[in-house]
Amino acid sequence: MIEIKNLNRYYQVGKERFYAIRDISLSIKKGEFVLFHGVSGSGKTTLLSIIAGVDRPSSGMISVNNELISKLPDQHLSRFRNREIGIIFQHYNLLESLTVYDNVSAPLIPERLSLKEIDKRVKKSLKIANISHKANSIASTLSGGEKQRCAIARALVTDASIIVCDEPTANLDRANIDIFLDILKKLHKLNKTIIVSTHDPIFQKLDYIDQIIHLEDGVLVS
Amino acid sequence: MNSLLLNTDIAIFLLGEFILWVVLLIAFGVNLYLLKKWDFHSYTNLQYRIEKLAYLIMVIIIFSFLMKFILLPYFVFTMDKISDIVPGAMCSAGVISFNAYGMKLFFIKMAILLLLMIWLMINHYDIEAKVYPWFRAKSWLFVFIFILITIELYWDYAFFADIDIHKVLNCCSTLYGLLEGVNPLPFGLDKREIIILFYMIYAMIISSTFGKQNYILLIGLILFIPIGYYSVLYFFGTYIYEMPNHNCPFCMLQKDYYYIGYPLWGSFFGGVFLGITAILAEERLKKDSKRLKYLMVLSFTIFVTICTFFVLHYYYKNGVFLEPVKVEMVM
Repeated sequence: MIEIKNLNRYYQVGKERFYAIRDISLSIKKGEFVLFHGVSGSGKTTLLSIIAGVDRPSSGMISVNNELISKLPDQHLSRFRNREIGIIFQHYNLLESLTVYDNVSAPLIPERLSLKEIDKRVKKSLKIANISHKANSIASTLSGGEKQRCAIARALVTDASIIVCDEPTANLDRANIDIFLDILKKLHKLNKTIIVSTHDPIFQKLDYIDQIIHLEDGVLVS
Repeated sequence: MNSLLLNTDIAIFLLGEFILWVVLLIAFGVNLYLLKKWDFHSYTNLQYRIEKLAYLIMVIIIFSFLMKFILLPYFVFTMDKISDIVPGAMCSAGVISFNAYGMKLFFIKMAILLLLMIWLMINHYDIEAKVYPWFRAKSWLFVFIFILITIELYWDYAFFADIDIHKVLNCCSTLYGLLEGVNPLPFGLDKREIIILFYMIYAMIISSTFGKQNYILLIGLILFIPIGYYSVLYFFGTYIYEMPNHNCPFCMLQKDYYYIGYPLWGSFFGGVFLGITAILAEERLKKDSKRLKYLMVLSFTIFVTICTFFVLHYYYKNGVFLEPVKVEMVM
């Protein structure tokens, strides 16, 4: 459950104040598939970053899974992000010199699990993301679609309840977009809360979207 | 200006203390602002900025506090070093007793360290709780500590500035010797009794820690402060120096005695401070402080082991114990 009230994020440049998002209030239920839609610069990524605990608001309240994340001290916020949020970045953000397996297992390092448990979880995530066959490949040698599936596996490995995706289809061809959407559908069935920030119109045609949130100049328009 | 202030070690020490004080002064000012404006239930921009600021100030305070823990042994080391240039003084004992500031300074430093440990403990639980339940308590405690640190800084300067290297000082044998014929041991105890008490109180501390009896532990700690100190001064110390009449808490900090005084007194006071902090955590904050208590047990065990080692080592080497010094009571 995500609860947002009167959320603002602005940047102070000299005496000017630039609002990335302004007075946003919304709520997302567990297991919902939500789309943040809007043109570049509309505040989608800022809002997504705040929900993911990557950024902090300037004012307003945000609670994720009953945790007031805007008020969490840094070490708690890092732990929260690691356990509760899976992030799929537009540019994947993989560790290019490591194998797919190592990239996917990286979020489990702070969890201090046994090697057996780590292996079990990584293999399960690789299977869901349909990238098991590339487990031992170096990330830099993968194609764009494979990199993204590796990023999906990494987002799933901690069994996060919320998956956020920032412009996930921006660098993919049509075939890979279809594979990606299939995986998202699978995750939705697993009762994961999925939030996608995109300006790609293909998402609006999906029949399993629960909410579409339109942003314009940082303001929620519908 | 007293030329002693230009001594490298004193200059480094005073400058170090001054820089830390300036850093803490900034933290103090910001801390007062935070205390005035703090409202955790608010979601305004001001409150978010204050929370970020509070985190930054916390990091500054922790860093400064860690430096304080390093500066205490350096203070003792400095006193020990200048005893070479001050006539009459053979170790820190003479230097610290030169003027009225010396012992006051030592006690205020110990008090500050104890309060710092308590602040660190409160801060740990405050951050762990996510909603800063002890924010105001730790902030007021910091205000009090800062006032003490300001007094300490003045006394630091006044102490060294007031040492006249042309004046002859007392040495430790005059200060801690048994020449006056007065029993220096507390509660009218003799050496045998104080050593028995030393091990009994140590056992009492250990058993009350594992038996989870905080009040007995507190009594044990209060008793262990004088008993531990006097046991080292008038019994274990003589085995460290291997001289029955050498009673000094400071000489053992010198190179001649392998700097054994640092781990010995460090573990002793460390154990006392950890114990008091652990009791406060459990009784006042209602928090489990097992880790602090285990550290306390470890600290006291190191202390008792070092003390016992020197006695056994002397016996192993010489086949006899040191002849106890006869203490004549003044009736």
